Amino acid sequence: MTHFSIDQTQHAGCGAHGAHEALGRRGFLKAGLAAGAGAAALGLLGGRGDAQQNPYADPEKPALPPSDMVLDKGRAAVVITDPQIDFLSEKGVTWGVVGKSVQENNTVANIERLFKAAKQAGITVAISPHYFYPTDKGWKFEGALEKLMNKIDMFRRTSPVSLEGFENSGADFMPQYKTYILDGKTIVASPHKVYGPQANDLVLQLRKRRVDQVVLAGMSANLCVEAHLRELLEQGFEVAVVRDATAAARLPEGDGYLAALINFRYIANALWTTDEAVRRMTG
Amino acid sequence: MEITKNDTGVVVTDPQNDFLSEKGVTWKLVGDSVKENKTVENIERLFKAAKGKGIEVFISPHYYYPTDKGWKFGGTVEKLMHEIKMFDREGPLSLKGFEGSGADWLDRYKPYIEDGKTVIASPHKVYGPETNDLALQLRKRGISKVLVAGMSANLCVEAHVRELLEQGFQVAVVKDATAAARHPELGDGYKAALTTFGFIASAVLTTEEAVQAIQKA
Repeated sequence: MTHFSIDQTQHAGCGAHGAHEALGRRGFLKAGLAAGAGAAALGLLGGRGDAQQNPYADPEKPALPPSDMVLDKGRAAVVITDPQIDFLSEKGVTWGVVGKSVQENNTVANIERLFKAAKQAGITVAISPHYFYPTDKGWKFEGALEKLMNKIDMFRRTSPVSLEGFENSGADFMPQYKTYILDGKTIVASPHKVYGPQANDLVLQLRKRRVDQVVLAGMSANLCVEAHLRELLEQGFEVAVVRDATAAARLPEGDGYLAALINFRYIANALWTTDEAVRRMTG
Repeated sequence: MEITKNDTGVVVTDPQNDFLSEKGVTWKLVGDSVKENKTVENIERLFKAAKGKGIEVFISPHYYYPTDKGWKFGGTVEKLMHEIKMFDREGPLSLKGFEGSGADWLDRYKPYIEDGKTVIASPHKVYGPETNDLALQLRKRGISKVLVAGMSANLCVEAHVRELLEQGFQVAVVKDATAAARHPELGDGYKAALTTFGFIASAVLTTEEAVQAIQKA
């Protein structure tokens, strides 16, 4: 069990509440979650509005050209990154830092709505999971978040060819998603190992099905979702990000969700709410 | 190419029953070549030498899952592999029926592969490591030179040699720790691979030469 403390600060707009918390394998960083009503509860999420009240509101007068992405169900896939307990469950090791964002965005329910809509519409669904194995401890250099993930044993599995202890562990899928993910049709790609799909077979799996449009969601916004967005764009896919079917960590170092949202606005082919994504998939 | 302990890795592709066991689904095509090269024994000699010297070992396995049947196009051997259910597993998150199957390691390799130190990359899905984490795993350990062996010479071994070269690794191939299919129409895969290895690899070694170099590392 590894313990260290960090200074947990609320994001801008909700006031600063410093708190110290222990980081451990379970229940790490359970800090500051009770503070303040969420932006979602205020009905502000995703809409245009007062940026001073809601840091995530879109600008009143956007300068960038509007999206012209038209979903073509026959060549589209819904791609979900890391729909796993360590990110999305109160029992997960990152709940203390991502929980508030997950709750505000209603991320858990929204991801499920995407699964349901895609399955109903016969759209391909692919999961890009995140697993770490004991041999990954042999890495000689890592970025800040990589070090953290390693330290808190995030997404830990026994081995690539063992499922011992896997079920309902932090690395397992959220229980409510299993009916969609384990239906024999959903593609479960091999794990990404840093943040992006460069190290797994996601792109191949999509191309082998002649998919070139992606509706992207999952965890976490500025890490794996953004890394997937960036690589898929570079690989020639047209990518819509679902802004409230993701969430991110808020740390003293910054609000990951806000950072991601800004980049999504700049670089994605479309930025949809779950409502809009579901409407486009089932309409 | 000098084999040095801290920056050289041994990479073995597909050390699995479907290629290397008489019970494997490709034995009729690859068996003669495997026997002639003593591939099974030579791969084991490489494992043993590397472990004895503390040189890191990496496996790049080959697995197919039921959802892979949804692919809409494939090359000749890809189609063949799917037809003969080569390397089939029940799912990425199931090991039902895995043990002793065509997708499992050769029994004699298990002490080396499952020692808790050998890095098992995620599966490659066509032939090369472009779709798995092998290159990342090598780089994360500061490894810049690799000895490549395994199955089969002109498919996964060659694909690994080519991609690792392009990714900036220095690559030597162990020519008798691999083998390939001989097919009446498709041709002799081993011969084709050996020609290419000579053209593109930094070194083409015998197992004996590789083992000696490892021991001197």
